[in-house]
This record gives sequence, structure tokens and C-alpha cells, in this order.
Amino acid sequence: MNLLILNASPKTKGGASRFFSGLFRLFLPGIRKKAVSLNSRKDFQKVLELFPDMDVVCLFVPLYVDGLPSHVVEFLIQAEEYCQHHPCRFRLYALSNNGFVEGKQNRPALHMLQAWCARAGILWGGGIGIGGGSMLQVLGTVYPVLIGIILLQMVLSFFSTGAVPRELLHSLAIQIITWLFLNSGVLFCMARLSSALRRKQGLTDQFTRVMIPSFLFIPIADIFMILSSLFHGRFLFTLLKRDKWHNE
Amino acid sequence: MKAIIHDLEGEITDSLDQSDQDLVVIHANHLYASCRGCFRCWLKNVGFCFMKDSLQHIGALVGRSDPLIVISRCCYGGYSSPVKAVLDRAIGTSLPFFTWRGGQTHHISRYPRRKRMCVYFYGECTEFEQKTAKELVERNRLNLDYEKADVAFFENIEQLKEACL
Repeated sequence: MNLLILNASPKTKGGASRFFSGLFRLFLPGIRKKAVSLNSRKDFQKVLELFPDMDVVCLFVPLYVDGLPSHVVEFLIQAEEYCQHHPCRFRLYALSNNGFVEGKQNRPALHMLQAWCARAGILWGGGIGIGGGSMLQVLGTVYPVLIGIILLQMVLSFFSTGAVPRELLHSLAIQIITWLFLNSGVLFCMARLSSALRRKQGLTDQFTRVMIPSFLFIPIADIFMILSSLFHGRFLFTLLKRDKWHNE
Repeated sequence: MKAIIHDLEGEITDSLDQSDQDLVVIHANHLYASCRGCFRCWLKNVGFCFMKDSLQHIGALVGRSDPLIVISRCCYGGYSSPVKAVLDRAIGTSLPFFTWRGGQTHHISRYPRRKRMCVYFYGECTEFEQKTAKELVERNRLNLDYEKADVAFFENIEQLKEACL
């Protein structure tokens, strides 16, 4: 089976879509896969030329203004025409993520991809909508660092005392379990998607989220935004200002 | 202020009332750079884009437009790529902070709540695509903080012109 993984974030580095595609690859051992970026127009032709050789295409896309990013819509229009004139027989799966906590907010984006499949004569495999994508991406950076620090402490402790303290093992287990819990919905949906993908079967759209209740998500996300703006040299009150249109 | 964002060709847009001082017409024509997802309009630039083109302050326009009228070819149940490029660049309309609206999390609006947005889709559009487009516009309404959103579908530009322009 030939699998094409498309990272459709317009960001050239980082981004939650790239994080999720990296995570999803862990579910696909033994499958011949190729990962390609779909950042902008310059990538279109290169991606289209890969289509005829593929059995499965998996698109990782961020939600922009409640739908697909503009460059993805432009790509789909070209891809529709390409697929009608070339022997493309792949099944399309998609994973859409958004910054809000509810995964269901990705539904229009997944439905647009399903509608594209109907027009292009491609089989729609189904998709996953992930809420809190940016938060999961940040946690996916923070937790490995925390776990790495604990492992380092364990190594140092072992060499200095010849034993690993129970507290460190306890702490390591807590960090791993917490990360697994926060990502449990995503990991479960990815397992289902990889299973469907291996059998080239359709999957009902799945919606999941970071496993944090909404009343906690909002203050945590807001604090993260304030800290990010500080990193950019801006304080909270500056962020709240209004801009002016040219002729105002 | 009233704003029209459209992807129509020149001969059609001649019929728009350009003399209205309170009207801003944005012709989405594939020449605008698309959003790069850097979030500098939220975290650094207080609502404006770092790209110095005529859409740099589009967030302020959308944030003050009442009504906001969007005219777009229906593409798979969403906006055409040129129109979407304009809307993607307008996220500075919102603050980076979250609130609870319509039973779901959304961004807090940077500008006062506005009354009405209208979206006119034209071109071939299946029933499934129309349903998708209606959900998309409703979500846009909540995120852009409009009280009401009207959606209409037209089979071709002539029908649209007769009904709206």
C-alpha cells in the first residue's frame, strides 16, 4: 500500500497539523508512506504528480475561519480537474484540527473534503476533527521535556547513589499518564483511522478534543495567549486595541 | 460602514454602487497573499497583518462592517479560494482570547457586535454542499460576532445579479 501524507498547514515550520501527522505516523508501521508539504501554490504540481501512484492519501489540515485554508481550496480545484484526467484511484482520509476546544467545529472542513471527493470521483474515507489542536501541540512539546528532565534526574541519581528514588519513578509515571489522558481521544481516533486506512475502508467522521473541560480550557488558553504575546514583546492591554481601516 | 467582498468579474461589479462613501468593495481576485498562520495579527500587531498589502487592515474593515456582504462562487460547500484568502486574513477582527458563545468556544470580538452579514453563493451547489455552506456561515457569524446571517444560493451570476446587485 502506498500512502501519501499531506501536511496542508501554510506554516513552513511547526504547526499542529505537522505535529498530528508525526503522531499518526507512529500508528502506521509497515506501510510505505511519503510525507509532503502542501504549504502554498508552489507545492501543487509536485503533489498532483504523486496522486496516480497512491492507494491512500491522508490530508492534515488546520481549520481557518471555520473552513479549509484558502490555498487548500485552490489546490482542490486543480486536483479535481487533475483526478478527472488521470488514473487516480486513492481513498482520501483527513485530519482537521482547530484551536477551539470542540472537535465538531471541524465538521464543515471535513464535509468540504467529502464534497470534493464526490466531484473528483475519489472515494472519501472519513476524517477526524480535533479540538484544542494548538494546545495538544504545545503539550506534545512540554511533556517530552518534562519526561526528559525526570529521566536525566534518574540517571544522575543512579550514578551518584546507585539507585533510582521511588519519587522519581512515581513522577515519571504521573507525567506519562497525564499526557496519555490529555491525548486519549486523539490517540483512540487515530487508532480507528489507521485501522480503517489499512483495510481501505470508510470511517464515519470522528470528533475529539484535548481532554480538558471547557471551563478550564478557556482560562488556560487565554493565559497561553498572554504569555505568547509577552514573548512577542506585547502586553495584555496592547492586544486589546482596535485597528483602523485605511480611510477611517 | 458597509463592505462587500466578492470574486465577481469586472463587468458585473460595475453595477455596484461605488459612489457610496460608506461602501468598501474588496475584489478577491487571487492576487492577495494568503494567511501564513503566524498569528502576529493577534499576538504582536493588534489586529493588523504583517504583510504590507491592501489587506493589511482587513480585520478592521470586517470588524466595523454592518452589513458585511460576501459574494462567492460555491466551492465544495465553502467560499472560493480568493474570497477565503480575504477572510483568512481578517482574523484580527477577533482577539486571541476565548469566550463561550452559542454553546461553544469562540474568540472574543475586538469590535462591537454587528447586526447582519449576508453571504451569496453562486454556481453549481449540491444539497450536501448547501447544507455545509449554511453551517459554515453560521459558524462565521458566531466567530465574527454578527447577530444574524443570511445565506442565499444562486445557480448562476445572472440570477445573483437580478436578485442582489
